[in-house]
Amino acid sequence: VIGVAALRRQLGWLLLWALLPMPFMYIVLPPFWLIAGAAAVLLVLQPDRVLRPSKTILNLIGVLILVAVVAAGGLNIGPLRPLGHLLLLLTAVRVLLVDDRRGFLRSLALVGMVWVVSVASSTHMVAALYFLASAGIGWWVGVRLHLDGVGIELEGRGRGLPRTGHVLVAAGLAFLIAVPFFLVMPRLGSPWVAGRSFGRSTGFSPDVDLGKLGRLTESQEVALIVTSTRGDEIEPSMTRLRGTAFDQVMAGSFIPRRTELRALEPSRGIVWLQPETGSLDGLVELEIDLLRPRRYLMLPRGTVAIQAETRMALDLYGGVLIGYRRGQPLRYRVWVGEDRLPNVAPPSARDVLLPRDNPQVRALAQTVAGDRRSARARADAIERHLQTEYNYSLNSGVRISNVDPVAWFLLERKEGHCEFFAGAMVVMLRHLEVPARMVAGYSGGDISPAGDELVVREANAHAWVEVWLGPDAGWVAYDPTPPAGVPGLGAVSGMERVRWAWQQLELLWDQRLLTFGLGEQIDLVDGAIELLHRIPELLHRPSVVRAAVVVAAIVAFSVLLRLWWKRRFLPWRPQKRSAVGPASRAMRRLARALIPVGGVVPPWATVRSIGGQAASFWPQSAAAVDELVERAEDELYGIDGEHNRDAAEIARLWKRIRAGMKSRELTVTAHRQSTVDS
Amino acid sequence: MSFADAFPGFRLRLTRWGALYIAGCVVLGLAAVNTGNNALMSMLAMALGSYVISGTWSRQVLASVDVQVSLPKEVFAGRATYAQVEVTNRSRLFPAYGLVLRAPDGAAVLTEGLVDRGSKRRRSVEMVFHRRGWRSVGPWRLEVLLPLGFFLKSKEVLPDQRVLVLPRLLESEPVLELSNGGGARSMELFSDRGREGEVSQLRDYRDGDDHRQLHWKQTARQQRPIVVDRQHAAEGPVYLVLDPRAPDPGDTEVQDRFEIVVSEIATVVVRRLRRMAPVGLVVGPLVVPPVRDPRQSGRLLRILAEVELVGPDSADPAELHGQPVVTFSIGGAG
Repeated sequence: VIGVAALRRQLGWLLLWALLPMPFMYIVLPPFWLIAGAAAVLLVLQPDRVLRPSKTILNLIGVLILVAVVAAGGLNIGPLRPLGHLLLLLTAVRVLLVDDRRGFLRSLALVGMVWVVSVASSTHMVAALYFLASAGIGWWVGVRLHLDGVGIELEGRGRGLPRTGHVLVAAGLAFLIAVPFFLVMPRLGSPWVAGRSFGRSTGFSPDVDLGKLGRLTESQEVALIVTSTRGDEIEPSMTRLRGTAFDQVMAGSFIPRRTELRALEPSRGIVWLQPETGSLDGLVELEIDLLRPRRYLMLPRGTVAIQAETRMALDLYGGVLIGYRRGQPLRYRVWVGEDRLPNVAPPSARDVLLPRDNPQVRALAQTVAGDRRSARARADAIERHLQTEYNYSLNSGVRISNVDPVAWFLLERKEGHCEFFAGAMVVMLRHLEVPARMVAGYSGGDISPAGDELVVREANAHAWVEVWLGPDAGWVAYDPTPPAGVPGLGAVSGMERVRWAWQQLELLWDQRLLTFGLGEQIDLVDGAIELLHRIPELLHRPSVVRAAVVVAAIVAFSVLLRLWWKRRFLPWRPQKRSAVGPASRAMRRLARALIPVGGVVPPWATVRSIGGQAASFWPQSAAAVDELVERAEDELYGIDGEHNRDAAEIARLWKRIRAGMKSRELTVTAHRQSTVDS
Repeated sequence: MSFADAFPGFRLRLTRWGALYIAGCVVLGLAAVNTGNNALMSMLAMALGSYVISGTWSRQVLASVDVQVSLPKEVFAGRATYAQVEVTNRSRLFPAYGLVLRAPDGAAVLTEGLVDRGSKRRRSVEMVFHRRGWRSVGPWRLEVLLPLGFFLKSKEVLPDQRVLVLPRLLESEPVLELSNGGGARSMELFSDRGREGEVSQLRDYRDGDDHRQLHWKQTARQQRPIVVDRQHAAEGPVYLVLDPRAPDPGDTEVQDRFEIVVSEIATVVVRRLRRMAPVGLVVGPLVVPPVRDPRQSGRLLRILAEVELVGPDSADPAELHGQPVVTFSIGGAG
């Protein structure tokens, strides 16, 4: 039966394991996990020291815990953080009081909850490894506790129980079973969702809601690939791809009005955004693979014409809408000329409309604008102000109260991602009666060494601003996001490819696990149904048949290899099984080793006499020899125990004995050497 | 193979831990569905996966573990008897963890930490029968709680089995006197001082052997108790006569005295046969001719194991003329 000290030490290790992700999370403040960590370290290092405080002291500690939780913010920032703090402090105290198995099991539940908090709050890909390792540890601890519960000795001679291999295989199988469970479990959501605003990732969206706060994960999913069909170099200006603009501002939301769409009719297969010239000479021709279309085509500024196999319509802001295509990629060609917007509509009243006037934001805008009167000067000033006075961060934090997110960003938070910067500039300019709108699209990407291919990822999604500077200048692009936050161009090198591979993994993590939801489930069912329909067709494909043959050959080869390895493949060569067990064989080896060093081993020598001589010759191996003697006696004369099963353990024992023999040889050699020297 | 064949007397019980686990899964499920947090979903999925694997594992273990119990041929009352229990795991995939073999009264007869795939473990289980006669062993149940102990699954591995328990053997041989055989003689003839006579054979120690018979050198060499059998001077056959009649067979005091008498006779039978001295038995009207070989002891001991008190009107013990006889009755040996 496991002793209390061993249980306490085990509890300490488990708590340390549960706390491992805490330093990488922001939900729990460091002092709290540090206190719990200190308790865990104490358990590991001093498992015998059991605290037995009086009830008064315990009550005092309880009060102190409550005070600490309240002092750390209480419920001001939601229930999760204080609950986490409370849990950690309670666990830290509880584990130190464990003095029996019952207390251990109760504390284990608390440690398990700490682990749940850790896992549930982790978003990085490494959390998957942590989770899998935790599954193995959980199985090991579970089996061990139950074995202990039925009174089975866990650390007898030989290897302890449970065997690590068995546990890992069980955990691995449990994981395999868990995958379909994970895929089919309902993703329903709830009106009181706690974590809905967390776990978002970067990417183009046909509207912007700044009310969704929290940390944005950079998704490395490839959004589109731009290729220069004639081998022309893709110019940096073409790496900013525009979706559309949002002119309607409502409590932190930016959306397009979606009115006055103009259907685009192709002329000889080509749609002209600029007045038709009939010639595409001198224009850069680009082919764009939009892997996950989201309502809009992504177009470089200055796009003159488009060729696409879909219906298209032009909105008021130069955005080209396409028909709904769920998950179907779209390939289209564009011809790019000078940097001009199509369908340049002058601003309307809505381009300066704000849902409500915020005096503080207005005052800030006026302060920044100073005595500048022209729209360009004011826009320049605000852009510069935002770029220099505010910080870029993917983590927008958590709002404390229900305020306008733009005002909260401008006046309190002062850091955020590009949508906050763009939104803030739009709102500030509109407070100054300057027409402005937010633009959503992509910026930068990974460009090939030849400069003719650009891979744009969802991490390159960006938002910027277009400001109306009069009929002559039209809508002019401004980017108030600090340069550090603007997705740029990257070259494709060897290291870059490694990084891409890693990013692909992260993408898989993002899309298939972290943000896996109802849509993905529907896609999965769709895919499965489609695959079922395609099976007859696939079976007629030579490549599929070849692949099936290869797989069958590999499986057959593996089975044969396994059989050969187990010597069952050759029935005419039966496996040799020694009648003598491994411990007895080791004793024979030991007896043979004794003879050269002067040991007396008559044919009737007993196991114990051989062991006694060996222990006296090689004192450093005495413990291992004793154990070997016991095993050999058990093997030869015992009625219980199994034979021929502990070969690995005997091999380890023999290794220890050999080590003792060698050290003796070294000592003797050194002694002889010193004698010769003297 | 039907379910009943694979799991005779199958029982399934949700453990407290299993109930807590299910409750935890429900809470985790509510939290996961409510928040849409995929980490919680993963935990729930893993918990359910573990549940499935644990259940499958324990079910397979229960189906593939066999328990064979073999009792020694001679089981004497009051002496520790060692039953050989062999636990075999026939499964090629699943190691069997945490097997518990329980007696009908719920006491754990045997706990086995691990029986690996395709291997067997042999254990000795000490059993003590306090009274002679037919006694039942079993049914024993094999319980599997592991790997994660959500359910306690069990099946019968040893059906109710009857064992004939031979009479209790006494430590010292009773001092008795012969009659009808040429005058009274001391029973010293029966006692074996352990030293005289030629060595006839060395053999393994058996229950009831005198410790003075141990051959210590051979015991040390062979690492198991070895005793010496010696050839004694030829002894003539002796009949041991048991009169089971009693005025009041239901009286417990009488019954106790009767048990002592039966034990005395059994002791004499065993001791005499070990030195190859012929001994016969008369129980009431039943006469068993003398036997000499210890291997024939069962013929006498089985009768002694089953003999019961009878009323005073029962038949007299058979009379033997011209044979040395020792008569035993509840009043004492005569």
